[in-house]
Amino acid sequence: MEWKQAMKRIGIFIGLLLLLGCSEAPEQRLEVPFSLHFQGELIDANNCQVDSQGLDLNATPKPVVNAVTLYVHNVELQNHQGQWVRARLQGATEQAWHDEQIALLDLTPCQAEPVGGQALPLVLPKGQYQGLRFTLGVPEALNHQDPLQAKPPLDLPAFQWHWTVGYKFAFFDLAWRENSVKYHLGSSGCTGNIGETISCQYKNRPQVSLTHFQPGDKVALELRQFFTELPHARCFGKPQDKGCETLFNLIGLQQHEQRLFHVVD
Amino acid sequence: MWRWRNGFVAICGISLILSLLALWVGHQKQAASAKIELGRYLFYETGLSEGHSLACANCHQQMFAFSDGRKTAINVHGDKGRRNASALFNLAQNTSFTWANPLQTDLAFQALIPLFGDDPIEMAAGSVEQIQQRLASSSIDYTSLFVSAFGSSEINLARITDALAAFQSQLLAYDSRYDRYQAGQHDALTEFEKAGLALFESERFGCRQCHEGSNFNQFMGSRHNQATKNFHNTGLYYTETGYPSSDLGLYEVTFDAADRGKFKTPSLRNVGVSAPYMHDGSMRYLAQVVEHYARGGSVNLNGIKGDGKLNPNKSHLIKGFDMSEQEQNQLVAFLMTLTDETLLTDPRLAKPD
Ligand code: HEC
Ligand code: HEC
Repeated sequence: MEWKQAMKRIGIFIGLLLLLGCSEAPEQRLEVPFSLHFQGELIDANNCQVDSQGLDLNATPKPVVNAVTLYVHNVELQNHQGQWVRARLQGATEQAWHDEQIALLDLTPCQAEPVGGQALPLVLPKGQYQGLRFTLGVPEALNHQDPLQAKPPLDLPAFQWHWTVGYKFAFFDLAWRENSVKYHLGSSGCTGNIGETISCQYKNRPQVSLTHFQPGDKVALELRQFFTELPHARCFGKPQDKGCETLFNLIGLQQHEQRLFHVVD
Repeated sequence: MWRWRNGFVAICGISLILSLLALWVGHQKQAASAKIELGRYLFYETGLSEGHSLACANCHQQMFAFSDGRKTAINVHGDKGRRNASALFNLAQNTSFTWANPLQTDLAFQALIPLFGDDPIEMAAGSVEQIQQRLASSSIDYTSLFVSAFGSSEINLARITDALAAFQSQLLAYDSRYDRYQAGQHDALTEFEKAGLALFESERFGCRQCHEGSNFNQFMGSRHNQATKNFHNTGLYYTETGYPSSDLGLYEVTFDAADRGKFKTPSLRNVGVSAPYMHDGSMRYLAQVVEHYARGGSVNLNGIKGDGKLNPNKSHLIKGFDMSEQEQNQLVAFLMTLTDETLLTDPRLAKPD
């Protein structure tokens, strides 16, 4: 009798342990939308009416945005104890714009078929958060792998940087008045062999930290600053490219604070 | 009786295995040649480009040893690029591909650059779906070509680049008059050409220092055939900033200042048909190339001010040498013997009809 009772208790105990072990810690979802701005004004589908010269028909002349895409990974939010908590990207969507780690954001307005998402669909342990940070780019471990075997969102040839065997972490193609901006950000100064290790002198993966972020806020990307006195700013990852200075400066590389992204509610 | 029977069974078994093996080997061979054939169709296929405007073969034409006869290549939009289209042959003997990129060590992978590159734009192939659509609407039966080569009709980039590489590996050029002379046919070269060969091999001219090996593209001092040893600044330019910023060569990939103006040593085979010369097509004639080396660098080449001879990054092997007019002509005559006519005319390498 005694013995049976004990067995029962042990059984219940084991059962409880199992239950605890298998049921996941409670999680919550958080969607973080991204949007494009020009001098603080939203660029959206209303900017799609351009005339034959590619000029915006709106009252305030906004830029023509041919492409803005970003790879984002290492997304973290800060809990109220001040710790940064890694978020997971919610299970792959039908369009497969992200896996658990990396998201491809396509912020180009006026596109019939965007190639990436416009928001980060995050999953976090339940809790209270503020502050958001993320890293731009493709993690080093994946950046130089065979793109022909790559899974979404790394399988798009347009964002593979074949000449330097990596990815275009950020891609900007803009025009405003007589000026144009073409920026490709990625790791450069690389050596090694395809299929083996490739390592790069300039990794160029800026971390964007938005400490004022509150759940429900949006992340705004301000484009005006890209247009400097250079009429045709260009940075395609070559040492002689004139536009790289501005891009690196604004995006938070080479000891600069990033000035492109900020929080709006 | 027993023994005899066992032996018989064993022989039957072995011959069955052997014939299966033979079948399998035959099958592999068939698949390999089907892949080459598919690669050939794809090499001549304009459907790999935006608006069906360019095939690989537009910039890599058989009659020019698979270069294009232009100073620099022209892309899908009709714009000129900054580099001379490479001639394509004996590609297995390249330690890296393109004029100045040691990262490009994989022939199949290299094809992604003309297909999708945007600096410069070349074929603007678009998305994989767009390529699939263009191939599907072609008059060529790609479905059966892919099935024969890969066992199923799926069209993807791994297969396309694999097949293109298989075809390009067939572009061999080891049958020039020079090769016949080397093989013992003494009258394959004239006395004049033989004199040119001797100059080419001479220490005074020093060409072999860099154009070594059976493909004339290897650095002599590199025992291990290291890719980086095959890049040199040959003193084409010396501008106020060092080298024309339109193309800084190896430096653009390595960001190492010592690599400014360094380019890969090209093969010298088929130079008789692959003019113009150098990474930017800046030299129209072989005589000009030889003069460049004799002087130890070029002055105001391509309309770009400056004396390349003084470029501090120039290889110490480009020293200049004295040369008579006769010697210049002899060297050029020798370089002309390196042409493999078969490469230029073989119908198996031509556009399929
Ligand atoms: C617009 C013209 C153009 C087209 C189209 C083109 N190429 Fe090229 N190709 C070039 C130029 C220019 C180079 C030299 C590039 C460089 O050095 O950056 C080159 C270099 C190469 C090389 C390197 C050869 C060597 O010796 O290093 C290979 C291989 C090659 N091309 C294959 C192809 C294939 C395969 C295609 C079709 C998918 C193709 N090319 C389409 C212009 C072109
Ligand atoms: C220091 C190494 C070196 C030496 C020595 C050298 N070359 Fe070159 N050669 C090169 C490199 C590198 C290039 C490509 C340079 C460029 O495009 O900027 C080249 C290009 C050429 C070309 C043009 C080929 C083409 O397809 O465009 C010819 C022809 C040539 N060399 C012939 C010679 C001859 C003849 C000699 C001896 C007089 C010689 N070379 C000595 C390295 C060398």
